[in-house]
Amino acid sequence: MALRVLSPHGRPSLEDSYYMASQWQLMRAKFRKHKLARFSLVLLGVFYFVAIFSEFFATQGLTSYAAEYTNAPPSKVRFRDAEGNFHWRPFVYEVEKQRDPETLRKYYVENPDIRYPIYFFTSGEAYRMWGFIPGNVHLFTAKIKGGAEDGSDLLGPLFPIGTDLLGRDIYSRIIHGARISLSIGFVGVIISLVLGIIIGGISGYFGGWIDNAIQRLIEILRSFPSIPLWLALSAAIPPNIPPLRVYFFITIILSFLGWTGLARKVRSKFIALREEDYVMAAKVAGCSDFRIIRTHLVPGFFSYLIVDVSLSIPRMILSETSLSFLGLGIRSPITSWGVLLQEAQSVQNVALYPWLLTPVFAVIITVLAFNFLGDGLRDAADPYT
Amino acid sequence: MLQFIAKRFLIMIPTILVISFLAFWIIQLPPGDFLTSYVAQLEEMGDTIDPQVIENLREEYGLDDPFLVQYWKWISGIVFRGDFGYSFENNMRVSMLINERLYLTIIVSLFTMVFTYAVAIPIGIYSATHQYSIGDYTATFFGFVGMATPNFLLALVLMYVAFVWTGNSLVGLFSPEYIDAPWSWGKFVDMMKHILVPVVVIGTAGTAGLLRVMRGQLLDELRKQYVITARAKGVGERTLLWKYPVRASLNPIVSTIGWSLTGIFSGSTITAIVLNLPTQGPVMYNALKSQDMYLAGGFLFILAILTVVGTLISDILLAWLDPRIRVGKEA
Amino acid sequence: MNDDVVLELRDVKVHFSTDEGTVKAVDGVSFSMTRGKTMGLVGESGCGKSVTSQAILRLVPANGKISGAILLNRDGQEPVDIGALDNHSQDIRDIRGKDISMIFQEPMTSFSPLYTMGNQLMETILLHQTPDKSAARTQAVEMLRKVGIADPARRIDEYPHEFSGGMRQRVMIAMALSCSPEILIADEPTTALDVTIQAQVLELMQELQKDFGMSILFITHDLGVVAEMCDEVCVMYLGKIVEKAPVEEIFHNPRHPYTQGLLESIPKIGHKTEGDLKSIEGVVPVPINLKPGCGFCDRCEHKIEGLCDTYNVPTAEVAPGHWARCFLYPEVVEAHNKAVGGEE
Repeated sequence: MALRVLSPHGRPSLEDSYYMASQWQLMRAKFRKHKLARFSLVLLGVFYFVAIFSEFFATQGLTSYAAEYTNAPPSKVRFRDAEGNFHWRPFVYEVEKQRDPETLRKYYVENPDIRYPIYFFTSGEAYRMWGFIPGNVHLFTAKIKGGAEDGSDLLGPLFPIGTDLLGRDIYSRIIHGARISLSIGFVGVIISLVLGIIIGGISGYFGGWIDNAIQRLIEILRSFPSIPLWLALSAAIPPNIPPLRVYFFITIILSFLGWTGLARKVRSKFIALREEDYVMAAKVAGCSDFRIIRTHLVPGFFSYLIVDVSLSIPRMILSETSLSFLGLGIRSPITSWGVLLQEAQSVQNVALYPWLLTPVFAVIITVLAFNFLGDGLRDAADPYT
Repeated sequence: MLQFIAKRFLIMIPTILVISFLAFWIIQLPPGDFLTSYVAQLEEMGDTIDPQVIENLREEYGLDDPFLVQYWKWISGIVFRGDFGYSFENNMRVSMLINERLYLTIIVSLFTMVFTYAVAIPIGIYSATHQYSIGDYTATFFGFVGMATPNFLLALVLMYVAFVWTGNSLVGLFSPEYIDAPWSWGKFVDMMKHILVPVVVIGTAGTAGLLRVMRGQLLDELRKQYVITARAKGVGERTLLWKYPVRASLNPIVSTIGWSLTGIFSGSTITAIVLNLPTQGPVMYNALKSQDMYLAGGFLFILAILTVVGTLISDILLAWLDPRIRVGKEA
Repeated sequence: MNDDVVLELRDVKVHFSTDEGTVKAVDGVSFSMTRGKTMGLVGESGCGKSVTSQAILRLVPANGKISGAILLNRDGQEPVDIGALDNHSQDIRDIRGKDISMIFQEPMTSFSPLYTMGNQLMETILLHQTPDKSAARTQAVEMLRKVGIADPARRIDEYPHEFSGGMRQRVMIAMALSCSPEILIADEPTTALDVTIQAQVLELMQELQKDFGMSILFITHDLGVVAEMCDEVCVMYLGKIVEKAPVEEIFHNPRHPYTQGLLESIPKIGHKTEGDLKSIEGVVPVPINLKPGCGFCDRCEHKIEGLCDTYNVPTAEVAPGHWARCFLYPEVVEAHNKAVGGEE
């Protein structure tokens, strides 16, 4: 004889707004509490924005190089000139290559006679945005306006992170590489997600032997170690095909294993949700299937999927980086962070020019941000705990 | 229990069959057959090859046969004669190359596994029992960074540091004088000195992931009712922790030991390439680059089989540890 | 201390510090338990009855702070104040399971699935009585027989998942009683069981109480169970005891409007009620940043403006052995005036 004290009018008191908030509201509130995840979201937003408009943010084009500035260290940005005068507009000095007479090693010295002020939102190297919109405005450029012989601007050597052995600006290359590295994670995950939802959904919906067969297949695919399998698959990409198709192939290869994890999640969630009391309650209450899917399954389902997606993207990015690093992924002339690191493979080079390793930080920060974001989303996906 | 093991064995058979199929499909994947590309390659370098030899090879591998016949020739060679085909790149039987490299691959993998569990589990326990302490935050931070750092990057950075400090990049698994020497105590000691760096490099990502899992599992278990029951009986905190929640949170981890092999093989492949270890990685990598597909496929097949065996072992271990699986439900 | 009193709580408070503020889950609870008798602790979910019972064994979660005196009066020994012990001290561990033991609501999750029932049952005996394993085993088998497990010598080596819910709760009781404790705390022990099993378990507890002579602190929200099991009853609301009386008094002569509301909301056989069953309006507030006054006054039909919502209500004996915390009774108002006067 259990005693239940219920209010017939069910109007909870003021502080009970917690119980009345919708699931989405709760998730948002909970996510906002996770400071690191919020910060990561903003950071990733900035990264993707930069990657989308990489031509604008980079100072140098993808295929450009400055032969006279090979292996140059990061430029020193100055406000005070050699005479001690302060300039509001930052500037860089011209640098000139010298050779040490004893070690024969090359090094750069600044030439304080030539001063290149840094301008923002200004014209620089011409480019075609996304390959078809012509433009020449960059976020910043060091130049002497009208300094060239033909009266045009004379561009100066501004390399925020230094240059590689061909004289390519690493800062620009990291930005160009971001477009490939960041998008390959996204596109790969979308392909995996579509495959995962379809196959996992079929598995969960039909059950029986179909489910069994699919689960076995997933298990088998997962018993292949990923990198050797990817290597084997990408070794099969024919040489001498256009870079865009390589990109396409690599994405497919990465998704080849990627979908299995998502399919498993979809299936188990699908089965669990079907049995959930509130779904049963909604059915008994006479809700239409569509309404059940929209108001009960989707929030319970997609919140988990979003978590998985946010944790799959960094794995894809790492995989692409590994493949390209080994020379079996993205190939020059297009550039990804893995391609950049491949150029840093020789320890001797890295020891002499440590700035070649900077793409490492781009990779780590991006992956960390995605992991923190995923962590925050995971907490938010379970707003009732 | 015996019945469980027998059942688990039976499931393995079709699994291995499909794996072998997939591996062979990958061998066949590159456009054109390997012989043509091999001959073209030789001609490019100015070599010529006796047409009779080519004809014999064509015959031996049945390159003009349908897929299934070729597959049968390949798999029956492995099953009945331990023959994995021929490596054109190295002019050797693939089985010889596999023999040479496989045991070191397994040694490095086992060491990595021990390292992963020996580091992750104690730290995970500390993190969970001291939730939100400075130690927990530190462990969590390193866990995240460890997960975010691909192992070849770690290898590069360690090599760089070692190079800057000692002028030597820490490559290989043996000092030069031991590379071709037969096994001896000295060689073993030498290997132990060299193995630490690759083990740390390969194991870091796995350790970081496992640490997060262990911490989460233990936190879940610590909140369970049976912990309070035990406390209410007067069991001391330390005994209680190890006997109940730690033991319970180890179960799901044991069940993934087998799967962790894929991660270790994956990581060791790329690490071995960077650090030039005498394991399967560099050989397989070169094989893939020159489309020496029997060699590459053979390694792929063996690694997958090892994983399957690993999962079998971890399933048996789990059944041994967890009475709910061992003693089937009767009530 | 009176020898008949086995446990006395004096102004016990359990406060949890959370992000939102201090939660006063238990806010000044006092009662005493008589040797060999059963005390009922009744109230809605969240009224603090479970936390009170956890405080007695110092089992409250780490962010909870216990204050006040919890005096345990063991036979022939000096009383101990559990409230002053350290959570991790040997002293409290010696009390847990030996002098005071506890059974819980969820028989499904109260056992670790990884060890046999025997292992978990013998653990208590090995800790408190004998280090000899075979003696502990004999004793454990005997306990299982006493709680009505058939073929105990075999079943002792089975795992929890091989037992049904009711059987597990029996083993739980065997475990709790294996060291003949002075007090058994039963935290809603039958809530998760089927009604028929519930009756069997209650009957078993009554029988064992006769055998072992322990006192029982019975925590429940089910007034029917209270009527069957208890000698004395405390009704809790919002961390405070609002009424305390012998069981017949509570049922036949409830004084506090909350107790009256509880009783009226139970359907009675033979009393055809007109229309709906009565229910208490509103919900229990969350015990954070409570304003002064009676915690129940917002839901009370008899609320006296300017009194109930302004002053904290003291308790007073409104009839012999019957205490209530409500301004409707002149004894309480008198106690209030005395307290306020004393302050001036």
